[in-house]
Amino acid sequence: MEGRRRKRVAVLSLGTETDVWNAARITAAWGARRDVESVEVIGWDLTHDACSLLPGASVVHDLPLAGLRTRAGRHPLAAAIALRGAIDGIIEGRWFDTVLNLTYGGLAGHLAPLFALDPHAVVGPFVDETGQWRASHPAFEYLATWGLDPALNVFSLQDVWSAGAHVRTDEGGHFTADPVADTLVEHGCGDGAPPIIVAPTTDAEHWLGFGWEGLVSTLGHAGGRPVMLVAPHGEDALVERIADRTGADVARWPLRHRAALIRRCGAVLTSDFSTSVFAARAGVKQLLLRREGTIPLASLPGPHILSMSGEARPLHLDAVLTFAMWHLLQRQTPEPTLQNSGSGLAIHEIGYDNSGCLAATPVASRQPPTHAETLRAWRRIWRDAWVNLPPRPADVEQVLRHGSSNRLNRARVDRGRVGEALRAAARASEAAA
Amino acid sequence: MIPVWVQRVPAIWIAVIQGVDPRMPAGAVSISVNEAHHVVGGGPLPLEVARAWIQGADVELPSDASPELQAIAHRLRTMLPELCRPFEPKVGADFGLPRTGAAMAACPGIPSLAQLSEAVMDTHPDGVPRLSYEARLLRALTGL
Repeated sequence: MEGRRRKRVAVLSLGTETDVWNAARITAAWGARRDVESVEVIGWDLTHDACSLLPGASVVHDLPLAGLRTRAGRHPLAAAIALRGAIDGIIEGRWFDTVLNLTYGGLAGHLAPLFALDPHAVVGPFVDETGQWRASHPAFEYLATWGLDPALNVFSLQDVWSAGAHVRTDEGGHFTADPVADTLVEHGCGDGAPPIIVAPTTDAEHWLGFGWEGLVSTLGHAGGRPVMLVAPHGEDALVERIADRTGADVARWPLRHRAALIRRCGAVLTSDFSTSVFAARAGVKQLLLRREGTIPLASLPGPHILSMSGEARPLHLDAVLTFAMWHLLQRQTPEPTLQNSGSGLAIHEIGYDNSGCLAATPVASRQPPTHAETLRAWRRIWRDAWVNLPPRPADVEQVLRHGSSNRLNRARVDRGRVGEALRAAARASEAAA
Repeated sequence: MIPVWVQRVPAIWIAVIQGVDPRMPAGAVSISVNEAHHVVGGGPLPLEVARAWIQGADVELPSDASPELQAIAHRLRTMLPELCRPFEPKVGADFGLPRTGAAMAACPGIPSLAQLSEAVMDTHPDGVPRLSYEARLLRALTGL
């Protein structure tokens, strides 16, 4: 990059911790670019620790969420001046060459251009000077039109954001290793077998067919490894209760060390989506227990996950144990259990499909096999459209003839320019026939 | 604590005798007729008047003011933008958001963020208002 100034890049992530971790792929990829001098994450002060884990990020700036809210409640001008002061403090007289806005919402959409040297050079959704929403990439148009509709959307939101930020959707985005934390974890865990991490939620107690205590006790016994509990947000009381009744250890590590702990343990069982995203960024295997019979594609946490849910009936302890042993501990499982689609289980392996997008492949489910192929075809069609390629004939045929739901396919075809391309392809196909 | 300069300055009040007119709005900056004559005749502008003007206060006077008082108020109002220019860097540095401050001063009571952001939009020849820096900040805050 001799002779060219390297870029100062801002990543605006003004959401929850989960949103921050979803940005990991993007910060990792941009941080590795040779023309980038620094990737600086701008988040809320409440998510500072989460932002600090992002790979590729060299600086974390905080905006004071609680402080702004307090000031806005007292006087609007006080909040505006505090926000301006915070922005000036981040910019320090040198505006960012590129601003990646990874937050959908009016606040980030209005703020993103203020950080940019060229207000039109924002990557991500933003509000232009006339007050209109702009999408810097067709993926963000897709996000606005389809991404929030769980029935029509065919991508994980992580993939849409990555594609829009010009990052490979199968970029790992794993948390950076922290030698200090790794050393602490080594000492903390001792010489024995690393524990299996369990992160329970109170909500799951209402739809699981068993108590967490039973699972923790049985898993530790059957797996031959201790169980260590990790409390998701707001679940400290539940975790304390389980620990009291089962004698399991509770990991009270700071977030930075918790990533190292999870990485060392290598196996997580949880019903908490945020923990699942976190563990995915730590790059470990997970068994994710979910309530619904079907998986909303928008909320796929990451690869190497086995997702398990009951179809209109609670999950059974034996079934969860079986799949935990199979997926987390690599123990053999009788074939009939995996193929037992009549058992009321919906089991999916979440990983990357051949187009590099996160996908949930049924291991045992009532869904017909064509469903997964149709989703794959839709993904290819959209991704081709994002780079102005026409849809491939085989994909058009798949989605028009073999769609699992004609109603959904019609809805997908009827909207937007991809729909026009599809109809044109269908007409050409008919004419040729 | 809200900084003192956030508080609205309601008016630059011209009175025959400075500080004794009971109709003067609370918090207004007072300037006597003689002093106003002195200013429009080339004399120095009092700092508190300059600050009030930059922060959006208008020149006001009693409804039953004499023609002489009305004339001097009109002249002062016309000249203040130019007279205040040398003071802008100092007052602006303290204030940071001068247009928002002016909009605050023009509104009775405390306006909402939405009202303020509308008031600080940039005008454009095509008739479509544009988001100024301050309008972006204020609109962003509505999303908190």
